[in-house]
Amino acid sequence: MMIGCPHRIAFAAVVTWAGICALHAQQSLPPSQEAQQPTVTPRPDFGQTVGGDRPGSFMQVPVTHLFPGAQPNAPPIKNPVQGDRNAEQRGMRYFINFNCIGCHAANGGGGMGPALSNTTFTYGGQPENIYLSIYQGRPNGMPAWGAVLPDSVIWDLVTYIGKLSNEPTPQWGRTFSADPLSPNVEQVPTEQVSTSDPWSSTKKFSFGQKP
Amino acid sequence: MSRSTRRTYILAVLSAVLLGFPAATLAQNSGTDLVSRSKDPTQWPMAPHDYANTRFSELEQINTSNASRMQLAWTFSVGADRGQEAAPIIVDGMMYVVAPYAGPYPNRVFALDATSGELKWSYAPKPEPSAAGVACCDVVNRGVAYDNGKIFLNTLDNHTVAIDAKTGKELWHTKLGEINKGETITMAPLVVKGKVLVGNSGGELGVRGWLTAVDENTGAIAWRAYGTGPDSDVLIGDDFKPFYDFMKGKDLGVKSWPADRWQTGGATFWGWISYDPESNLIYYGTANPAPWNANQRSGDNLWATTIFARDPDTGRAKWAYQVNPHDLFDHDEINENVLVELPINGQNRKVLIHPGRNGYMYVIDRATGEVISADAYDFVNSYKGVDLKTGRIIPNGEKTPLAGKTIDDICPSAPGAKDWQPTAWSPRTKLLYVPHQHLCMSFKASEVGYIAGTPFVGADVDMYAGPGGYRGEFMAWDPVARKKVWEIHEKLPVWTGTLVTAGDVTFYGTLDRMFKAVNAKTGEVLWQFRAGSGFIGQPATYRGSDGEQYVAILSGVGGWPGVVANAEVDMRSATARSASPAPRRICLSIPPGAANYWCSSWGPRLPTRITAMRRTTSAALLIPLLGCAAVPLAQANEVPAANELRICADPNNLPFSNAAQEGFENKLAEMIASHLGKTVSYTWWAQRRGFVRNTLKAGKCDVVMGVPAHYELVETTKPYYRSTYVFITRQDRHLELKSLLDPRLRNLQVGVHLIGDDGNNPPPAQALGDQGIVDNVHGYSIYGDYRQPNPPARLVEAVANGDVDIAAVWGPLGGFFAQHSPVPLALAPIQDGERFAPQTFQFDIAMGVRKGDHALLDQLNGFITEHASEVTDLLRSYGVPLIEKQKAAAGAKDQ
Repeated sequence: MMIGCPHRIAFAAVVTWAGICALHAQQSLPPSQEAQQPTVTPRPDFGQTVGGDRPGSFMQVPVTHLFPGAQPNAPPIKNPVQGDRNAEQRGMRYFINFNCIGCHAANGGGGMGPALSNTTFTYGGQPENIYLSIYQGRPNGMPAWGAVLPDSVIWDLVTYIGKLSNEPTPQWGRTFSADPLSPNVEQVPTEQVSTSDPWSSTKKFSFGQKP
Repeated sequence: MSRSTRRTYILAVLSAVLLGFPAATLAQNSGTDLVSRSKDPTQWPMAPHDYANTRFSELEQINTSNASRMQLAWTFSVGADRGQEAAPIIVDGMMYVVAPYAGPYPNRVFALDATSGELKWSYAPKPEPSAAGVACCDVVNRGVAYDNGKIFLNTLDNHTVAIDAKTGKELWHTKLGEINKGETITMAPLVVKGKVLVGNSGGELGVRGWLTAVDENTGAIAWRAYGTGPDSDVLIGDDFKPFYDFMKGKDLGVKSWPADRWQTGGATFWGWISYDPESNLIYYGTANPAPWNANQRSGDNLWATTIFARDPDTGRAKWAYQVNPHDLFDHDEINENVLVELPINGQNRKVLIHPGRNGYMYVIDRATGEVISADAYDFVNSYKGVDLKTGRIIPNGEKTPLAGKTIDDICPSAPGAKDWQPTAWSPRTKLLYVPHQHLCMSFKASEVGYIAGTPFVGADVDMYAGPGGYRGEFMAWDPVARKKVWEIHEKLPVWTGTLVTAGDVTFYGTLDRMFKAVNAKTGEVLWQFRAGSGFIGQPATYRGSDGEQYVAILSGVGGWPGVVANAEVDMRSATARSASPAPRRICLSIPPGAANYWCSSWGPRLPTRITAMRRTTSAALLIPLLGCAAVPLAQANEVPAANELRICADPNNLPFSNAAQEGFENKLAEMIASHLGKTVSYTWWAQRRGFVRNTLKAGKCDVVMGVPAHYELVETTKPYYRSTYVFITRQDRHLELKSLLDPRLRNLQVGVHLIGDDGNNPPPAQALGDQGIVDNVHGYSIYGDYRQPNPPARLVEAVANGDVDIAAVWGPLGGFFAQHSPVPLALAPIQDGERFAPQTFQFDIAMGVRKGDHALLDQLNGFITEHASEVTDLLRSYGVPLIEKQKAAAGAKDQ
């Protein structure tokens, strides 16, 4: 038995719809209203000196770990400035000057772009993978820098990023918890310490309270 | 609406139905333009609710006395795991919501039935995925807009799209900006006089900001007002009259910058627009100048952080007020401008209230741009106040960021005392409800080079809690007294918008998953609900087609403070995301994503005007409606076995039915089943709002055993009995009271059942109320405490134990419980009910099947005809008072 007042009030609003034709209007502004900005031209040797002497070897860099059938050998590509302290310093300067810091934050903490301060790399963490990610750009927002940055600059950046991502990881995966505290360290903020090796100076996690 | 007007209104509708006239339109205002829709409580036609941006709803069904009983009505998942900032809009019974720019269908628009939550259609634009690389603050979208049968959507990759509101068909799309310049669009558009108003984002990428008006029918650009540059681009002409001198001059949008820096100067617009139809002016404010490092852009940097009043037809500026000349701290001024009339110094003035990002609450004369008052509404040390004579804010020199040097304890921080999350204004309490953050920061400026399509910031920022250690607050502000009236502190920034209702309830959500209802007068938290993910969205409220008030909000943490929870951001790095305002802590307490969309409906009812004898505790029967992770377009019907008679019934509703199958409807079902050679099976559901929808209509069962004849939600058989409301008294009182007109009813304590608010109460309650008999009438919730058996029996027990002298009860309830009463009770059919027409006190009761289920209908009708006497005997054995149908002629009586 339906309880109570059998009269339910229906609110009905009558609306008529006019027929509408589909339009695809691509509109653009008159040129005079666009700001005049200096354009950046691609570097003259773009496409010619990829990967040092052996550009073709970059074709062998896999972007996945699935190989049907035979597993190929690793491509014979090495970071030419691996371990060079000067390259790390230069890489840190380029990281700032080319605005990598704007998306990836100082020390690579991440923000608009993913973090570079850990060993998780969406498109591969080997030096040759990072090189290609910077050169080619990536679908979800990494710009393609190959047309504007010389090889040497890209390798310096790769070296610096290798240092940034040298995180202390006691675990294979990641645990987030308040009690027990995990992770339990954080980097010293860049306004206090500016270094190309941020993981060398850490302190206890502070929960976002004032340092 | 006052009780009496509402009652009259309902009576008018009922008589129309009885006389066979078509149902009248019941919306308060049947106009189709946005102004009328804003006044219609069944709609929420734009994100700010109305052109004045009050976010105030006339609905009072949910109020301070019953908000504690709000219940989850339904949920819907938008399927994109990033920050959910969109406001839902509700137009003509449909809800439109847009998802963020993530997943396989970025910025997908969903059209749902606003009452049932059923999905009608969705529209997915064609995305450019790399747009996510130039979105500073999560890939959010703040909502769609509606006008003239069209829905308008902005996509992150700079398109404005028009979609048919009924069908979802694409009508036109226009590309307004370019991601390679760093431009994106995140704001909810606003339609004014046939023009869709859209602004861009990208102040952190050196974009040149603009506000563009697009023709709603063709998608052609009507005008564009830039935020920087020469007057011809900013649409400043001879009719421009700024109130203060520092904004008077030619081409200030060039001159207040060094060299060509205005070309990468920011001053975008991505917040809220208000519109005053009387003066024909739109009001909005521009964002920060670029870059954040102010040392690279000497000068006032017009027209960044500027509130503009413009003519919506041409875009021409009428006045402007720059809130933060030469902004030092990324204090955009895109926040809402709430249009109100306030009594100031004995005069009623038409003003706008602008909660500044800089921590000051501005009250500005909206005709001239004069600042009437500017008072700090949160802790501010980066400024020393606003000079009302010159109109200029006075910065605190000690907090000025110098290149290479870290300045600590700058308050408010870069997102300001309040960011885009909008406030609400109640014309009843005359208070502004302000959700906001409470953060300070350390700021180190550094030189930055401009590279198009990359960030152009030049600052290292670290944010932390302000004085007191809390990071968020929800408060009420009195703009005339210029002070806070009450406040609620939160651990994390309060990043949702708010709304306020005529029921004096306001709402907000927290980053740690709580959605709260608050008493708008006192700040007392009335109710809260923990959802799947944190809140950064905007609530809306509306009345559904079932007459219930709903509140809807998206949950899904993200946005500037929450991107650390849903993106791959390292919380061990202090400067992650140029310092998230709700830093690393979030990762520990909030699951990422889980974008859910849900409504809460005001649930079990309580007596309103009639004094309640007992306020029964609500049986929070949370009807579980979760579980739709994917986007199902239709309910799958379960296939019944051919020999089953599947009954939809209430497990705790004697004398009709209960789980032990002791009610007369249970017995009747068995009789029918054996007659048809079937077995009985049950789908149990509490019989209140949503019963038919969730049982019969959902295909879970096929018959409801007792419904009023011609009940509109089902197809009914012929009636199998007719009963009447009865008066019940103790036999030993010898009251012999039969008539609703009996004067003794004024002095006796009378008990009635109540179902809900005024409009839906049973006829006796209405009839007594009509006679002004109120104070001695006591309401007993018919749902009562559902954990106890037979909640409706409480009323009859009250007669037996003397709590009331007489009760008016629906016949079968009265008869059955009186039968079982240890104290002898007397029943009398209520007379003179026809004096209260169109209320009726006698009803034919039938069985109900799904519309179109004629096979079963015929079988049931056959049974009723052939076994009428057995049915009557069954009913009599339960004490059901049975009466003969009266002749149709008005006034004639059979008995």
